Amino acid sequence: MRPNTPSATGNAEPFQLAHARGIIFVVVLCAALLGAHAAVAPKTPQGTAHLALLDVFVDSGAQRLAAYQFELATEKGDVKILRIEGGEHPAFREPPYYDPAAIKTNRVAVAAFSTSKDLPKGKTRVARIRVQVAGSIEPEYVIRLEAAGTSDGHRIKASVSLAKGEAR
Amino acid sequence: MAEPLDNAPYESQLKASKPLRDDLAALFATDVPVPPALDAAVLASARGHLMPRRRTRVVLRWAVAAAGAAAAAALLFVLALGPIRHAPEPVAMLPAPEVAKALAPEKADINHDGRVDVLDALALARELESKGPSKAEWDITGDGVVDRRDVDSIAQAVVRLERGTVQ
Repeated sequence: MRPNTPSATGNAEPFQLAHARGIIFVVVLCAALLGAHAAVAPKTPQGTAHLALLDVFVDSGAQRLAAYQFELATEKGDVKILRIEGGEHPAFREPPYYDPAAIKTNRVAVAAFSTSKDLPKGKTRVARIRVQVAGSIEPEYVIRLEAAGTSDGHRIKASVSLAKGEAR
Repeated sequence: MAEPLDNAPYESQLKASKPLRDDLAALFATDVPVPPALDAAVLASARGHLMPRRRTRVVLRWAVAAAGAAAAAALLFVLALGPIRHAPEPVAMLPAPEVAKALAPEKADINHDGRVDVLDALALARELESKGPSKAEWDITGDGVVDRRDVDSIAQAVVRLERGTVQ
């Protein structure tokens, strides 16, 4: 075992001491860098981002719904669209049509149709939109139904609504 | 058996005479003359033995410092990129055919209601399912065939964020 004493040259420090000094240097350097970054980094709202769900309902009343088209946008808040899924009824369970460019933006147009004989009527969830909400401002959405129709292609009056929820 | 060597109380009382002390000092004198050449040779040999260790220590010390600098550089790089974020789940994206961008409104208005929307896609889908005679004007994609791709082209065109060409 090598003695932990100064060497015969008198000016060389023990290797263990040099090693420990190097580790301490690295640790202190990292801590200083982290501190500097925390001090100068902008406080972005991304730090408080969370995921949320937007359920879109179309109420076609007594008519059977065969097609819908709506546009959703945010009026307030920092929202990014992440994913768009289908609805609850089998006729609209597949993901609807949408522009992929809408992903990571705050505006999207969504449309779907079904030639199935089994179509929903009344109020039904036609789509689910997963979004990322950043910051502390409660988002406000605006949704507009652009078209709704029956299986024979007739345009019908229907209403669209939005329900907000937290993603699990 | 020898007696225990506990002579401390007696050593303080022992006193040697001066001649005896002089003789002993002369007997164990250490001022042996060493030739300078031998002294230099011993010194050179000692340096040759010790210098590699010292060099190794210096190299190791620089290696530790270099590792620290590399770690700091890596940390700076990570910090410059910002916090690591998980990518969102893969999205079921639809293809965006170039034809949809150039969709002519008069061609896509399948139900002739003066608007191009999802009801036109529905109308064309129903025509295809009825397996009736197809019209050349329904060939939205221009590939000479009226099929599901023409329906998709209308549907994708109506949800485009920039819909200047269809509305």
